[in-house]
Amino acid sequence: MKTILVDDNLMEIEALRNCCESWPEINLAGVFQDAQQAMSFLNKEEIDLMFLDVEMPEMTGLELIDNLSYLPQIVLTSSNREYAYEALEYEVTDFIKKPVLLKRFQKAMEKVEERHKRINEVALSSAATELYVKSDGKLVRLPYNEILYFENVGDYIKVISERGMHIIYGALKALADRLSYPRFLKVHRSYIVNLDKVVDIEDNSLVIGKKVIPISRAHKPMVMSSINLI
Amino acid sequence: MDKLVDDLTQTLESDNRGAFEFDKGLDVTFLATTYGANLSFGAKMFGIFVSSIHHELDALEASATHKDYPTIRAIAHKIKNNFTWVGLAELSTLTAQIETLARQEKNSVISLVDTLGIKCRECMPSVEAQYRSLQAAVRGHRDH
Repeated sequence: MKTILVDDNLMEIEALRNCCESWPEINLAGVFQDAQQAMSFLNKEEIDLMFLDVEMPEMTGLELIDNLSYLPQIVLTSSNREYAYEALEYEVTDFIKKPVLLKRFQKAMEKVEERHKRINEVALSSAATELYVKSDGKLVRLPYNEILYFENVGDYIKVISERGMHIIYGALKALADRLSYPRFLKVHRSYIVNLDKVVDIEDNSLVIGKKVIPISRAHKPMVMSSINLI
Repeated sequence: MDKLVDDLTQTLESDNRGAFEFDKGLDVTFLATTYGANLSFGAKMFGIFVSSIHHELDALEASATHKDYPTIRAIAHKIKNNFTWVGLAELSTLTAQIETLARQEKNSVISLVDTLGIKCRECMPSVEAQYRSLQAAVRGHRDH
């Protein structure tokens, strides 16, 4: 679990670091003594978990949360109990009143792992039925059963669905590895098709809608073994 | 190899948990619970405290002289828990009071800063002695 610590007090940082060393799942990716530094790091890297002090000069922990483009799991730490209410408002995973002692840290980590498990389960169930593509500054949901095919064009992939076309950056092979839908099949180095959308197959090509898609010799046996040929 | 040494150090530290005596002038229960099984962690925490507290106290006293309440509040907030980590919970409470009074810009905070300075300096021989004994214990385990 990629984790960072943010606290302006060196002793609190050291105490948290010591706690983290007792939890094998934690991969400590960074330690920051001010929120601005943490912000720059978070703009470049994605993390799973952050232990975040609330009261820091320049930028507070809550301001840091407000400025994040995504939300990792957050455990707020403060010597002031009043911030427990804010912790609830921000829906962070836990709030620890300082000093952060090992037993309390372990309790927080149990909550973190529980939430991590839930997030992964949701992500897995989502990956089984749909994907999201970035389009015009939005994330558009594409259920697998609406996708017709994927076509590789240079460094990009065209995603053709019943509702239109989207272009995403990436390689077809990497995409194929992330698709968990069994009806998707690579039929050519430039095409992955949804077998449920095939109209007909003729020699070395198949038709989806009005599009004729080539089937390479290498992929032909796999195509033939994937269809229910009587 | 490093892992083996770490494991051995940890085992030795655990074995000697009962053997290490914390300074009776400090909060022995807190120190034994927090550092008893990990003396090197204790040595590190005391080291940070010893190397930074004089500077922080000087800054706190200077800001009290100038009645610079925001700075008094900021420093008090930053250091208040540090006292707990070295077994001086009473001074943590005092520093928390300083933080509150400074936030309210109460004049009485100035005398409280003086009190904190005096009490902290009185405790420093115990803290420094504890730091040295923790260092010696950690060195002793390593030499073993």
